[in-house]
Amino acid sequence: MIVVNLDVMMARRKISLNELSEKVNVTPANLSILKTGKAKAVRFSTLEAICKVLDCQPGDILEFVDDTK
Amino acid sequence: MVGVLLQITNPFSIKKYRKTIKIFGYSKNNSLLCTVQFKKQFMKRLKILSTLLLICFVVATFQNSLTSFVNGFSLGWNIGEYEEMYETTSQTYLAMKLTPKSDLLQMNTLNVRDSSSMMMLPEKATFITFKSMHQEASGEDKFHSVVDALLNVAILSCFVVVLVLVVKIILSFRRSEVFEERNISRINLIGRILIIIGVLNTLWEFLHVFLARRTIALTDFEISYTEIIDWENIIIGLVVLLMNEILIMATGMKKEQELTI
Repeated sequence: MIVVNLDVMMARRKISLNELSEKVNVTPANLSILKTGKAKAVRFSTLEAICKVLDCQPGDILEFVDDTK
Repeated sequence: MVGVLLQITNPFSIKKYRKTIKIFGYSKNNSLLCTVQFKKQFMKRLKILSTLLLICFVVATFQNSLTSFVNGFSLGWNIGEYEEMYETTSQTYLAMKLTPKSDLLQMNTLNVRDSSSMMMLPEKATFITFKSMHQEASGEDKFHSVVDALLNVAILSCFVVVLVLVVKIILSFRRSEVFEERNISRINLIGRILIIIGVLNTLWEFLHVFLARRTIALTDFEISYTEIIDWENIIIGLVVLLMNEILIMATGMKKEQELTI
Protein backbone atom coordinates (compact mmCIF):
# COMPACT_ATOMS: atom_id res chain seq x y z
CA MET A 1 0.00 0.00 0.00
CA ILE A 2 1.02 3.61 -0.50
CA VAL A 3 1.46 5.63 2.69
CA VAL A 4 1.24 9.42 2.51
CA ASN A 5 3.81 11.14 4.74
CA LEU A 6 2.56 14.63 4.07
CA ASP A 7 2.01 15.36 7.77
CA VAL A 8 5.64 14.40 8.53
CA MET A 9 6.96 16.75 5.83
CA MET A 10 4.60 19.51 6.97
CA ALA A 11 5.88 19.13 10.54
CA ARG A 12 9.49 19.22 9.34
CA ARG A 13 8.87 22.39 7.34
CA LYS A 14 6.71 23.81 10.16
CA ILE A 15 3.87 24.68 7.82
CA SER A 16 0.18 24.50 8.64
CA LEU A 17 -2.51 22.85 6.52
CA ASN A 18 -4.20 26.16 5.70
CA GLU A 19 -0.93 27.77 4.72
CA LEU A 20 0.00 24.85 2.48
CA SER A 21 -3.47 24.77 0.91
CA GLU A 22 -3.19 28.46 0.05
CA LYS A 23 0.25 28.02 -1.50
CA VAL A 24 -0.61 24.84 -3.39
CA ASN A 25 -4.06 26.16 -4.46
CA VAL A 26 -5.88 23.09 -3.15
CA THR A 27 -8.76 23.33 -0.70
CA PRO A 28 -7.96 22.44 2.94
CA ALA A 29 -10.61 19.72 2.79
CA ASN A 30 -8.91 18.03 -0.17
CA LEU A 31 -5.50 18.41 1.42
CA SER A 32 -6.86 16.85 4.59
CA ILE A 33 -8.14 13.88 2.53
CA LEU A 34 -4.64 13.51 1.08
CA LYS A 35 -3.00 13.84 4.49
CA THR A 36 -5.19 11.22 6.13
CA GLY A 37 -4.59 8.75 3.31
CA LYS A 38 -8.21 8.67 2.11
CA ALA A 39 -7.32 9.93 -1.39
CA LYS A 40 -7.63 7.48 -4.28
CA ALA A 41 -5.20 9.32 -6.57
CA VAL A 42 -2.94 12.37 -6.74
CA ARG A 43 -2.52 14.51 -9.85
CA PHE A 44 1.07 15.15 -10.99
CA SER A 45 0.31 18.89 -10.93
CA THR A 46 -0.75 18.69 -7.26
CA LEU A 47 2.29 16.59 -6.36
CA GLU A 48 4.55 19.03 -8.21
CA ALA A 49 3.05 22.00 -6.37
CA ILE A 50 3.38 20.31 -2.97
CA CYS A 51 7.01 19.31 -3.65
CA LYS A 52 7.77 22.86 -4.76
CA VAL A 53 6.28 24.42 -1.62
CA LEU A 54 7.76 21.87 0.80
CA ASP A 55 11.06 21.72 -1.12
CA CYS A 56 11.16 17.94 -1.21
CA GLN A 57 10.94 14.94 -3.55
CA PRO A 58 7.76 12.91 -4.26
CA GLY A 59 9.42 10.01 -2.42
CA ASP A 60 9.50 12.11 0.73
CA ILE A 61 5.71 12.40 0.63
CA LEU A 62 4.74 8.99 -0.77
CA GLU A 63 6.06 5.67 0.52
CA PHE A 64 5.34 2.10 -0.52
CA VAL A 65 4.74 -0.35 2.33
CA ASP A 66 4.31 -4.06 1.58
CA ASP A 67 1.36 -4.94 3.80
CA THR A 68 1.36 -8.63 2.79
CA LYS A 69 4.44 -9.29 4.87
CA MET B 1 -5.32 30.37 -26.08
CA VAL B 2 -5.64 26.67 -25.46
CA GLY B 3 -9.33 26.37 -25.89
CA VAL B 4 -11.27 28.94 -23.95
CA LEU B 5 -12.49 32.22 -25.37
CA LEU B 6 -13.14 34.76 -22.66
CA GLN B 7 -14.75 38.19 -22.68
CA ILE B 8 -14.06 39.46 -19.20
CA THR B 9 -15.50 42.83 -18.29
CA ASN B 10 -14.76 42.59 -14.61
CA PRO B 11 -12.26 39.90 -13.64
CA PHE B 12 -13.49 39.90 -10.05
CA SER B 13 -17.09 39.22 -10.98
CA ILE B 14 -17.44 35.44 -11.09
CA LYS B 15 -21.04 35.69 -12.34
CA LYS B 16 -20.08 37.72 -15.40
CA TYR B 17 -17.11 35.44 -15.89
CA ARG B 18 -19.37 32.42 -16.06
CA LYS B 19 -21.89 34.11 -18.31
CA THR B 20 -19.40 35.18 -20.95
CA ILE B 21 -17.28 32.05 -21.01
CA LYS B 22 -17.45 30.03 -24.23
CA ILE B 23 -16.16 26.51 -24.10
CA PHE B 24 -13.98 25.07 -26.82
CA GLY B 25 -11.98 22.78 -24.57
CA TYR B 26 -9.97 23.02 -21.41
CA SER B 27 -7.10 25.18 -20.29
CA LYS B 28 -5.12 24.77 -17.10
CA ASN B 29 -6.21 27.99 -15.44
CA ASN B 30 -9.85 27.92 -16.44
CA SER B 31 -10.59 24.20 -16.22
CA LEU B 32 -12.61 24.67 -13.05
CA LEU B 33 -14.87 27.27 -14.62
CA CYS B 34 -15.25 25.15 -17.76
CA THR B 35 -16.23 22.16 -15.63
CA VAL B 36 -18.73 24.29 -13.72
CA GLN B 37 -20.21 25.59 -16.97
CA PHE B 38 -20.33 22.09 -18.50
CA LYS B 39 -21.99 20.75 -15.34
CA LYS B 40 -24.54 23.57 -15.43
CA GLN B 41 -25.41 22.82 -19.06
CA PHE B 42 -25.63 19.09 -18.36
CA MET B 43 -27.84 19.65 -15.31
CA LYS B 44 -30.09 21.98 -17.31
CA ARG B 45 -30.57 19.30 -19.97
CA LEU B 46 -31.14 16.71 -17.25
CA LYS B 47 -33.78 18.87 -15.59
CA ILE B 48 -35.62 19.46 -18.89
CA LEU B 49 -35.56 15.73 -19.71
CA SER B 50 -36.69 14.81 -16.18
CA THR B 51 -39.59 17.25 -16.39
CA LEU B 52 -40.63 15.88 -19.81
CA LEU B 53 -40.34 12.32 -18.51
CA LEU B 54 -42.40 13.15 -15.43
CA ILE B 55 -45.17 14.73 -17.55
CA CYS B 56 -45.19 11.79 -20.00
CA PHE B 57 -45.16 9.30 -17.15
CA VAL B 58 -48.09 10.92 -15.33
CA VAL B 59 -50.12 11.29 -18.55
CA ALA B 60 -49.36 7.71 -19.67
CA THR B 61 -50.20 6.26 -16.26
CA PHE B 62 -53.42 8.24 -16.08
CA GLN B 63 -54.35 7.37 -19.66
CA ASN B 64 -53.60 3.65 -19.27
CA SER B 65 -55.41 3.42 -15.93
CA LEU B 66 -58.36 5.29 -17.39
CA THR B 67 -58.47 3.05 -20.47
CA SER B 68 -58.33 -0.09 -18.32
CA PHE B 69 -61.05 1.30 -16.08
CA VAL B 70 -63.29 2.17 -19.07
CA ASN B 71 -62.66 -1.25 -20.66
CA GLY B 72 -63.47 -3.03 -17.38
CA PHE B 73 -66.54 -0.89 -16.87
CA SER B 74 -67.88 -1.51 -20.39
CA LEU B 75 -67.17 -5.26 -20.04
CA GLY B 76 -69.11 -5.35 -16.77
CA TRP B 77 -71.91 -3.32 -18.36
CA ASN B 78 -72.13 -5.72 -21.32
CA ILE B 79 -72.19 -8.72 -18.99
CA GLY B 80 -74.98 -7.07 -17.01
CA GLU B 81 -76.97 -6.45 -20.19
CA TYR B 82 -76.40 -10.05 -21.29
CA GLU B 83 -77.67 -11.33 -17.92
CA GLU B 84 -80.74 -9.13 -18.13
CA MET B 85 -81.45 -10.10 -21.72
CA TYR B 86 -81.20 -13.86 -21.12
CA GLU B 87 -82.46 -13.68 -17.52
CA THR B 88 -79.51 -15.55 -16.18
CA THR B 89 -77.04 -15.03 -13.40
CA SER B 90 -73.44 -16.06 -13.38
CA GLN B 91 -70.69 -16.42 -10.84
CA THR B 92 -67.42 -15.92 -12.67
CA TYR B 93 -66.19 -14.51 -15.94
CA LEU B 94 -62.75 -14.98 -17.35
CA ALA B 95 -61.03 -13.15 -20.18
CA MET B 96 -58.93 -15.67 -22.07
CA LYS B 97 -56.52 -15.65 -24.98
CA LEU B 98 -57.56 -18.18 -27.60
CA THR B 99 -55.57 -19.74 -30.40
CA PRO B 100 -57.46 -21.01 -33.48
CA LYS B 101 -56.83 -24.70 -34.06
CA SER B 102 -56.51 -24.17 -37.84
CA ASP B 103 -54.98 -21.26 -39.75
CA LEU B 104 -57.55 -21.71 -42.50
CA LEU B 105 -60.48 -21.16 -40.19
CA GLN B 106 -62.62 -18.34 -41.60
CA MET B 107 -65.55 -16.48 -40.15
CA ASN B 108 -68.28 -14.38 -41.66
CA THR B 109 -68.49 -10.76 -40.71
CA LEU B 110 -70.72 -7.96 -41.92
CA ASN B 111 -69.59 -4.76 -43.59
CA VAL B 112 -71.94 -2.18 -42.07
CA ARG B 113 -71.26 0.32 -44.90
CA ASP B 114 -72.95 -1.74 -47.60
CA SER B 115 -74.28 -4.72 -45.58
CA SER B 116 -72.14 -7.14 -47.57
CA SER B 117 -70.84 -10.25 -45.94
CA MET B 118 -67.08 -10.66 -45.67
CA MET B 119 -64.70 -13.47 -44.91
CA MET B 120 -61.93 -13.03 -42.42
CA LEU B 121 -59.20 -14.96 -40.71
CA PRO B 122 -59.49 -14.96 -36.94
CA GLU B 123 -56.70 -13.40 -34.96
CA LYS B 124 -54.17 -15.64 -33.32
CA ALA B 125 -55.26 -14.36 -29.97
CA THR B 126 -58.69 -13.16 -29.03
CA PHE B 127 -60.75 -12.76 -25.90
CA ILE B 128 -63.90 -14.40 -24.70
CA THR B 129 -65.85 -14.29 -21.49
CA PHE B 130 -67.59 -17.30 -20.18
CA LYS B 131 -69.70 -18.35 -17.31
CA SER B 132 -68.43 -20.63 -14.60
CA MET B 133 -69.97 -24.09 -14.97
CA HIS B 134 -70.25 -24.58 -11.26
CA GLN B 135 -73.35 -23.03 -9.79
CA GLU B 136 -72.28 -24.11 -6.32
CA ALA B 137 -68.70 -23.04 -5.67
CA SER B 138 -66.63 -26.00 -4.53
CA GLY B 139 -63.76 -25.78 -2.05
CA GLU B 140 -61.26 -25.91 -4.88
CA ASP B 141 -63.04 -23.03 -6.67
CA LYS B 142 -62.93 -20.97 -3.49
CA PHE B 143 -59.22 -21.70 -3.16
CA HIS B 144 -58.65 -20.57 -6.75
CA SER B 145 -60.68 -17.40 -6.13
CA VAL B 146 -58.59 -16.57 -3.07
CA VAL B 147 -55.33 -17.21 -4.95
CA ASP B 148 -56.62 -15.09 -7.86
CA ALA B 149 -57.54 -12.22 -5.52
CA LEU B 150 -54.20 -12.43 -3.69
CA LEU B 151 -52.28 -12.37 -6.98
CA ASN B 152 -54.30 -9.35 -8.14
CA VAL B 153 -53.62 -7.45 -4.91
CA ALA B 154 -49.93 -8.34 -5.02
CA ILE B 155 -49.56 -7.19 -8.66
CA LEU B 156 -51.44 -3.95 -7.95
CA SER B 157 -49.30 -3.24 -4.87
CA CYS B 158 -46.12 -3.88 -6.85
CA PHE B 159 -47.27 -1.43 -9.55
CA VAL B 160 -48.01 1.24 -6.94
CA VAL B 161 -44.56 0.79 -5.37
CA VAL B 162 -42.91 1.05 -8.82
CA LEU B 163 -44.91 4.20 -9.58
CA VAL B 164 -43.85 5.86 -6.32
CA LEU B 165 -40.20 4.87 -6.84
CA VAL B 166 -40.14 6.18 -10.43
CA VAL B 167 -41.65 9.52 -9.37
CA LYS B 168 -39.09 9.76 -6.51
CA ILE B 169 -36.21 9.10 -8.90
CA ILE B 170 -37.44 11.68 -11.43
CA LEU B 171 -37.87 14.29 -8.68
CA SER B 172 -34.37 13.47 -7.44
CA PHE B 173 -33.00 13.97 -10.98
CA ARG B 174 -34.77 17.32 -11.12
CA ARG B 175 -32.87 18.31 -7.96
CA SER B 176 -29.67 17.39 -9.84
CA GLU B 177 -29.05 14.39 -7.58
CA VAL B 178 -28.04 11.74 -10.08
CA PHE B 179 -25.28 9.52 -8.71
CA GLU B 180 -26.79 8.96 -5.28
CA GLU B 181 -26.86 5.78 -3.24
CA ARG B 182 -30.60 6.25 -2.72
CA ASN B 183 -31.25 6.29 -6.47
CA ILE B 184 -29.19 3.16 -6.96
CA SER B 185 -31.19 1.26 -4.34
CA ARG B 186 -34.45 2.62 -5.81
CA ILE B 187 -33.58 1.53 -9.35
CA ASN B 188 -32.44 -1.84 -8.05
CA LEU B 189 -35.77 -2.25 -6.26
CA ILE B 190 -37.70 -1.27 -9.41
CA GLY B 191 -35.86 -3.93 -11.44
CA ARG B 192 -36.55 -6.61 -8.86
CA ILE B 193 -40.22 -5.64 -8.50
CA LEU B 194 -40.71 -5.66 -12.30
CA ILE B 195 -39.36 -9.22 -12.42
CA ILE B 196 -41.67 -10.16 -9.52
CA ILE B 197 -44.60 -8.58 -11.42
CA GLY B 198 -43.65 -10.66 -14.47
CA VAL B 199 -43.62 -13.85 -12.40
CA LEU B 200 -46.92 -12.99 -10.66
CA ASN B 201 -48.58 -12.13 -13.99
CA THR B 202 -47.38 -15.48 -15.36
CA LEU B 203 -48.82 -17.31 -12.35
CA TRP B 204 -52.09 -15.39 -12.74
CA GLU B 205 -52.34 -16.30 -16.44
CA PHE B 206 -51.41 -19.91 -15.65
CA LEU B 207 -54.18 -20.12 -13.07
CA HIS B 208 -56.75 -18.76 -15.53
CA VAL B 209 -55.67 -21.05 -18.36
CA PHE B 210 -55.66 -24.01 -15.95
CA LEU B 211 -59.20 -23.22 -14.77
CA ALA B 212 -60.47 -22.58 -18.30
CA ARG B 213 -58.96 -25.79 -19.69
CA ARG B 214 -60.51 -27.77 -16.87
CA THR B 215 -63.92 -26.21 -17.47
CA ILE B 216 -64.35 -25.82 -21.23
CA ALA B 217 -63.12 -27.23 -24.53
CA LEU B 218 -63.96 -25.39 -27.75
CA THR B 219 -64.29 -26.95 -31.19
CA ASP B 220 -62.32 -24.39 -33.23
CA PHE B 221 -60.13 -22.73 -30.61
CA GLU B 222 -57.79 -23.95 -27.96
CA ILE B 223 -56.73 -22.37 -24.70
CA SER B 224 -53.00 -22.86 -24.65
CA TYR B 225 -50.20 -22.21 -22.20
CA THR B 226 -48.00 -20.75 -24.95
CA GLU B 227 -48.63 -17.07 -24.20
CA ILE B 228 -48.82 -17.11 -20.44
CA ILE B 229 -45.27 -15.90 -19.68
CA ASP B 230 -45.10 -12.14 -19.11
CA TRP B 231 -41.84 -11.59 -20.97
CA GLU B 232 -42.28 -7.79 -21.21
CA ASN B 233 -42.04 -7.09 -17.48
CA ILE B 234 -39.32 -9.70 -16.95
CA ILE B 235 -37.15 -8.28 -19.77
CA ILE B 236 -37.73 -4.65 -18.68
CA GLY B 237 -36.82 -5.66 -15.12
CA LEU B 238 -33.58 -7.28 -16.29
CA VAL B 239 -32.73 -4.21 -18.42
CA VAL B 240 -33.35 -1.97 -15.40
CA LEU B 241 -31.05 -4.16 -13.28
CA LEU B 242 -28.41 -3.96 -16.03
CA MET B 243 -28.70 -0.16 -16.14
CA ASN B 244 -28.41 -0.16 -12.36
CA GLU B 245 -25.09 -2.00 -12.58
CA ILE B 246 -23.86 0.72 -14.99
CA LEU B 247 -25.05 3.38 -12.54
CA ILE B 248 -23.18 1.63 -9.70
CA MET B 249 -20.00 1.70 -11.81
CA ALA B 250 -20.58 5.39 -12.65
CA THR B 251 -21.10 6.23 -8.98
CA GLY B 252 -17.86 4.42 -8.11
CA MET B 253 -16.02 6.41 -10.79
CA LYS B 254 -17.53 9.65 -9.48
CA LYS B 255 -16.40 8.80 -5.95
CA GLU B 256 -12.90 8.03 -7.22
CA GLN B 257 -12.83 11.27 -9.17
CA GLU B 258 -13.91 13.18 -6.06
CA LEU B 259 -11.08 11.56 -4.09
CA THR B 260 -8.47 12.50 -6.68
CA ILE B 261 -6.54 15.46 -5.32
